[in-house]
This record gives sequence, C-alpha cells and structure tokens, in this order.
Amino acid sequence: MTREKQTAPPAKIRLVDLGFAYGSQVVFQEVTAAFPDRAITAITGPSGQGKSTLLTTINRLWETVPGARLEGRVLLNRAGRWQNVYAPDIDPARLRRRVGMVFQAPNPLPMSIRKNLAFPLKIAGCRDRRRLEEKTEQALRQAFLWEEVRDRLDEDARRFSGGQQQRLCIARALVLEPEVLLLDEPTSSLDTAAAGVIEELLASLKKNCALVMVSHHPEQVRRLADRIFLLEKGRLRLV
Amino acid sequence: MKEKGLDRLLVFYAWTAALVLLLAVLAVFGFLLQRGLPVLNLKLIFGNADPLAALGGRQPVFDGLYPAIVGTLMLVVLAVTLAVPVGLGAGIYLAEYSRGRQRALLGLFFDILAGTPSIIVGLFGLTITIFLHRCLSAQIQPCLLISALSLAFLVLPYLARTTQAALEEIEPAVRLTAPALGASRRQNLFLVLLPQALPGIGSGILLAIGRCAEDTAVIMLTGAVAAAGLPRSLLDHYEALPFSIYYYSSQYANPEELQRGYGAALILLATCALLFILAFVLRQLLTRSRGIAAGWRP
Repeated sequence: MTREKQTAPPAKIRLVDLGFAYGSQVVFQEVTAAFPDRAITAITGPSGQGKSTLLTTINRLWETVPGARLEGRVLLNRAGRWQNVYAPDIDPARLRRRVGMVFQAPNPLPMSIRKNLAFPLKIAGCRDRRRLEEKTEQALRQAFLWEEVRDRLDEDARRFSGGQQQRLCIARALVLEPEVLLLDEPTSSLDTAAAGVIEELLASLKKNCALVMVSHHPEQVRRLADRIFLLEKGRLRLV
Repeated sequence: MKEKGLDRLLVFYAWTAALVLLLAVLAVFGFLLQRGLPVLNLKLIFGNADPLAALGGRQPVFDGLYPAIVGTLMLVVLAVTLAVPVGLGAGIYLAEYSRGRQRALLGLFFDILAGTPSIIVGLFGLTITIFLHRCLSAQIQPCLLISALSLAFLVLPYLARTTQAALEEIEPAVRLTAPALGASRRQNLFLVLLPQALPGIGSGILLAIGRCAEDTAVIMLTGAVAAAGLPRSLLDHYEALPFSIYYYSSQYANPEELQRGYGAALILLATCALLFILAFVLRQLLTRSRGIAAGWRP
C-alpha cells in the first residue's frame, strides 16, 4: 500500500508513521494513512486493538492518559496547507474545537439541552445571546433533533432517550462547526431504530466535514463508509 | 441445616450490634436531656444580663454561656474559612495534577496529619505562639486566631482527602466530555469537575465543621479560657463551649455548676446540629445548580 494511492481523493487528515504505546505495551505502530475530506472513513477491527486510541491521536485527547506515548505525525489539511497537530504552537484545546468528537455512550452534561449546546461556544468565548440561540437551533436542526426538542430546550438533557441524547451530543460537537468529526462507535449503545436515525444523520453530515468513525458493525460500515480501514495486530490497512 | 443456623446467628448478631448502638445514642441523649433540660433557659445563656442588651453588645455577660456560644461559632467560621481554600486546593492538586509516586507520598503525609492526635496539634499551636511571642511581639499570646489556625490544620487532611476522593470518583467519560469540546484544563476543572464533585466536597466541609466545633484539646492549649467575655479581637482570649463543658465538669464547686455543664453540652449539640443543617441546606442548593458555574446562564 503506497501513500500515493491513498491520497488520490482530496485528503483531510494524514497519519504519518504513527506509533502508540502505554508504558512498554505497543498498541499500534507504523500507521500511515490518509482520510478523505467530506466523506466517512470507517476504522474497524477486533476489539481491544486501539481503534478508539487511534481516533484520539487526531484530537490529542489521549494526552490526558498517564503513561501513554506517541510517535509520528498527524497532519490536518487547512485550506491546502498541511499542519502537524503536534506542532509546538498548536493549543490542544483549540485543536479540539476544530476536531470534534462523539463517544460510544451519550455523555450530555448534567444541565439543560440549551446549556449543553451553549457549552462549547461559551468556553470558546462566545457571549452573544442571539448568536448562541442561532447556533443552537442550527446545530439541533443539523442533528435531526430540533423538531423533537424545540419546546423542551430547558429540560435536563439526561431525561431524553438514548438516541436523542446521542444526537444531542452530535449537535453539541457540531455547534463549533468542526472540520473533522471523530465518532467512537456512536451507535453501539442504541437500539436499531435509534441507530438508523444516527446513520442517516451521519450520511448527511458528509457535506460539511470529514467524518472518521470507529465501528464494529460490518453492515453499518458497508452502508456508510466511503473508505474502510482495518486495525489489526497493531497495523492499519486499507480494505 | 447448619448453614441456616449460621445465617440466623449472623442476622441476630447484626441486629444486636445495631440495637446496642441505638441504645447508646439514646442513653447519652436521654441522660443529657434529663440533666440539662431543667437548667436550659435564658439565664443559663445570658446570666443576669438582659438578653436583648447582651445580643446587641450593650451589656456584657459574666455568668452565662453566651460568650462561649459566640466563641465557638467564631472559631468554627474562622477555622473552616482558613482551611477550606487550602484543603480544596490540596485536594485538587492530589486528584488532578500530581502523579505516581509524588501523589502516593503526598497522600501519605495527609493521612499522617489526619491521624495526628488533636492534643499534639494543640501543642504545636502553643509552640508556635511561644515562638512568635519571643521573636515577633510580646503582645502575641494564645488567642482566637491561633486556635483557629491550629484547628484549620487539624481539619485540612479531611478536606483535602474528601475533595480528592470526590474528584477521582468522576467517571472517565464525564471527565473527557469538556476537553473533547475544546475546554482547557482549567475550564474543565471549574465548569465540570468541581461542580460534579460539590456534594462530596460538601460532605468534607460538614465533617470539618463538626470537628472544629467539638475539639477541646487544641483550643485549651491555644487560647480558650473559662472566663473571658466576648473576644475583643482575633488576638484575644475567648470562651468556647467544649472548653466550658470540660471546665464545669472538672472544676465545679457545687451541683448547680455541674448542671450548667450539662446545659452547655446540650447547647453545643444544638449548635452543631444548627451548623450541620446550615451546611446541608447549602449543599442541597449547590447540588441543584451543579454543572452550572456562577454567573453562567445562557
């Protein structure tokens, strides 16, 4: 597998000679790959192989884990220019505003829908109430949630169903208009119907950003993914 | 058959133990109420002074418990105010910033401090007072401020450890939520982690309040006296309820004085209950608004 072959469509993310270890235990090594923009890339493979960890190398979220080590580079395409997310002048918090992430289990903060949606904007320094409201509505619409919650914005987010909570978390990640959205098995805690809605939603998000999704379900991957990678025995390969 | 018998025995044993505890509490309260209630009146608190005038500070109270009540309240508020910022900070450091061996070592130190008998802490306060008296100013003597500082030392480890435990209990998923949305470490701490940990931290403060109100060994070495009236400043002697109880019960000259000791015990219990209720209400209010930092309303 050569690098040229992979970068054929416009790429958004490039992993270059990426290696990851906890203490002396190597999770993966020599990972080189390119993920296309405005498309869904799926990473699949047996569990416990470091698929989630691979995702967190893109938004640097692994750095909070003690004893973890990374080598190599992760490059992000910004208007045609490649930028290493591990460059010394990159602030991880700012990076994560551009590279959103949604987790396996929905993780709404213990507050209302409205406040959950406003949270990322507020920490990014947005104080304008009108802008907050606009962005909230826009993100909830994007996440197929607006019609269901428009009259219940001030209710505790934890009172909604699992599927609604997960769409809320996707909306919350979208509110900052990220360039990349990382999804760590986003439907594995949901029933088939709720998962179906999320799949439809993800397909519609392709027009806005690059999606990188870890998934265990072969059918889901086949239905959704534009490019499929398999992480196995510490190596990543294109399927 | 034998299994069943053992099961029954265990249940019987557990019941008996619970019953003994209940009886012990009831006996103590009953005894205190029986001895203390007859003397529990305004005269016990304000002596011969007019209650309203005393409360307004226009008339000093010489033969009542009023100065001791005020002394204890001041002591608790002062000690907890001094200890909370340090204890919270230490707990946050232990949970969020220290790693590996350093964390274990610091934790050990806090546990040693928590295990230090209060008489030793009192002795430490006294030593500091003598040192300051000799080296800084002859004006410095055992006083309210020194007592409060010593008590703050006594409760610091509780505060640090409960804060640490409350923060470490937070699930990894919750812990990563805000950073994944672009929050800095500080934002995550103040907007998510500390609000989540508030009930636990509140329990620590509750414990600290109780400890400050009841401790006698520390204050008898660092500034509590039998008759001082209301303290005029933080550098003045003061009276406190636990010390009054100790004093009345060990030095009484007649049955009436001993009776006053029981009255003081009841008042101390009531004061502690009041402080607990206050802290509890505060905790409920904070818990209700948790997840939302102050002044942070969209």
